[in-house]
Amino acid sequence: MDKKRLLKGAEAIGEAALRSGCTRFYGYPVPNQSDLMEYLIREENEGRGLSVFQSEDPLSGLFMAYGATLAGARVLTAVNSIDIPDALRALSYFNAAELPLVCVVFTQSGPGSGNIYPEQSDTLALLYGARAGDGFAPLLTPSTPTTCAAATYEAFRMAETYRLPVILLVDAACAQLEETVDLSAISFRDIPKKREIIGGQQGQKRVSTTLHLDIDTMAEKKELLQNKKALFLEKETGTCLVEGEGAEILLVAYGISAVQAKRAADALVADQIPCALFQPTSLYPFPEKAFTESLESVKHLYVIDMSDGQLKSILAPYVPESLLTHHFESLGGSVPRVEDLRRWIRQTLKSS
Amino acid sequence: MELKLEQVAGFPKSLSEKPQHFCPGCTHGVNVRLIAEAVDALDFPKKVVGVCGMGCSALLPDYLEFDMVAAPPGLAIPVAEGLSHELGEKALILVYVGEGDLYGRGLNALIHAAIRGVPLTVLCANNLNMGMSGGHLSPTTLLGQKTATTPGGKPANPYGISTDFIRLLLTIPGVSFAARFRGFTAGEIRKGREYILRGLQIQKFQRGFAFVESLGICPTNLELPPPEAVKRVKTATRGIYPSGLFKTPEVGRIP
Ligand code: SF4
Repeated sequence: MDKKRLLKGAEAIGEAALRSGCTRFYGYPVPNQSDLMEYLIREENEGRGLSVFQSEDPLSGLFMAYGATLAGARVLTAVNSIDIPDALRALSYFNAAELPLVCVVFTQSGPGSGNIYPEQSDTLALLYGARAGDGFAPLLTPSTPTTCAAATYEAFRMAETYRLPVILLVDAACAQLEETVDLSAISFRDIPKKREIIGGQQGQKRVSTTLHLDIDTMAEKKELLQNKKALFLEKETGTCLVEGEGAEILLVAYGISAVQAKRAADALVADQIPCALFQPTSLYPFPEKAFTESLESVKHLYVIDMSDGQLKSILAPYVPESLLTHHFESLGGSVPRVEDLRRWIRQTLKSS
Repeated sequence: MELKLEQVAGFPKSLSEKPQHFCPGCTHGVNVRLIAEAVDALDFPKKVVGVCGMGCSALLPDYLEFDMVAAPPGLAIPVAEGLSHELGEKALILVYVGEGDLYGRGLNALIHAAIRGVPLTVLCANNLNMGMSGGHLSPTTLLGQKTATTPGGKPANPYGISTDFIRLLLTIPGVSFAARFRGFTAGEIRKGREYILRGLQIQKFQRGFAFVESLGICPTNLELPPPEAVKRVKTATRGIYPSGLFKTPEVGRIP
């Protein structure tokens, strides 16, 4: 198989899923999700051992994924912003039944039907929504086709290792962004399955239920899940990309905003304004240690985000309030423009 | 002379000995036993996987001795369909859901699985109300029937006239088998076991969507002793939810 491929973000996820041993995909045609589904259908027809199924609605697809996973499949699914409530409902059940799932959430502008252009305004809904019933789901935030591919493998590794659902948060721009992806640079190691299968061996009765009417049984179940979360947070400390070190100016962004922030940072460096970029590639777990380290020499912090301050509130617990004053928000479906970022940073520096 | 003994009755192998939580006189108990007997009567070895919905049927995993999945409300069919995608001919998949769940929030999935002819055997327990939630209006509640949400009796406006969902399913080519029995009369209970068994046998060769409805009683929410409840439901459902065999793969629609 060719090592370097020109791929969109959505396609890179599909390709990486195939290489991570994914055997089934469930989806419903919505913007961006369709690019992923169509890519996988082409690969299915090439005989690459994955089956794609288009469900009658997103919710049915998510729970077909649930059934198939119970019977041993390794499943990828994807939804769009509008269907996040359905996805969260499914995540709660995958959490309770301790089943692996990788769920891509392609985000667009909202609320309501909004438009199909990118925004990052569903992040808190996912971060907090996944905690319904004290559940949890890792939230990975790639920004380019290459990081999409790497994050997809990571997502399957976590999902299968800890038997839990993992969210891959991908904004509409990142899904459509095209680049040459060097797949040989990502190590797709075998991910072992460690779970019981419904409908498998003869003779033994296996049961999967998330209903525990007895209070003590439910309390035990919660304790198991709490222990799992503790183990997860001990082993997985979050990932990030850091560019530039020891600068007084630090830009923080993820997703497509990080792509633009990187370009703005490069332009500022060319203007003799040394600055660094911190890009979290997972928001749960948040790479707290790396972030606090990168804050050490920082005097000016610039948060770049396509939402009404959601990234800012994610960073707030780790940053002194006095530092958290500059926030660039781009709303309604437009990506922050490099020139705007550059001008904004130069102006605020001048006035401070 | 050698005496040949044949067992004609006994405790079904597929039924667990755990005490069941159903109210006295409830048809759920009958249905669970029929499922167990039908599975025992299969004449070919096959793994059976059961999927149950929410409500009074949700504790089925405790009562049946084969692999079981308890699905979220409204989603037993998608879960079963996913299982079927993965297990294919390796297993027979039997779904047991109440009508409040299956014909209410689960209806979209039910219709689409039927259209696709998914090889599932679905048994719907229709007891005219949402039992476990406390006796609320369900999609099959009869006109004038008192429920927790229609204390004065179900009015035609705004809730509509009672609809036979099997008739709706019969319009779908993907449905290969459809039948209804009344789970409270001796003769029909025996037929019920036949129907469930045939529904399962069809899946030996993955021959499409098999649907059986068990019309039952929920004495608790009807607030009637079981014999009274039987009388009431028998009369009130006459002509609305007829029992019988409506479709088979061999004959097609039975007039
Ligand atoms: S509430 Fe009704 S349906 Fe539920 S177990 Fe009791 S009698 Fe049966």
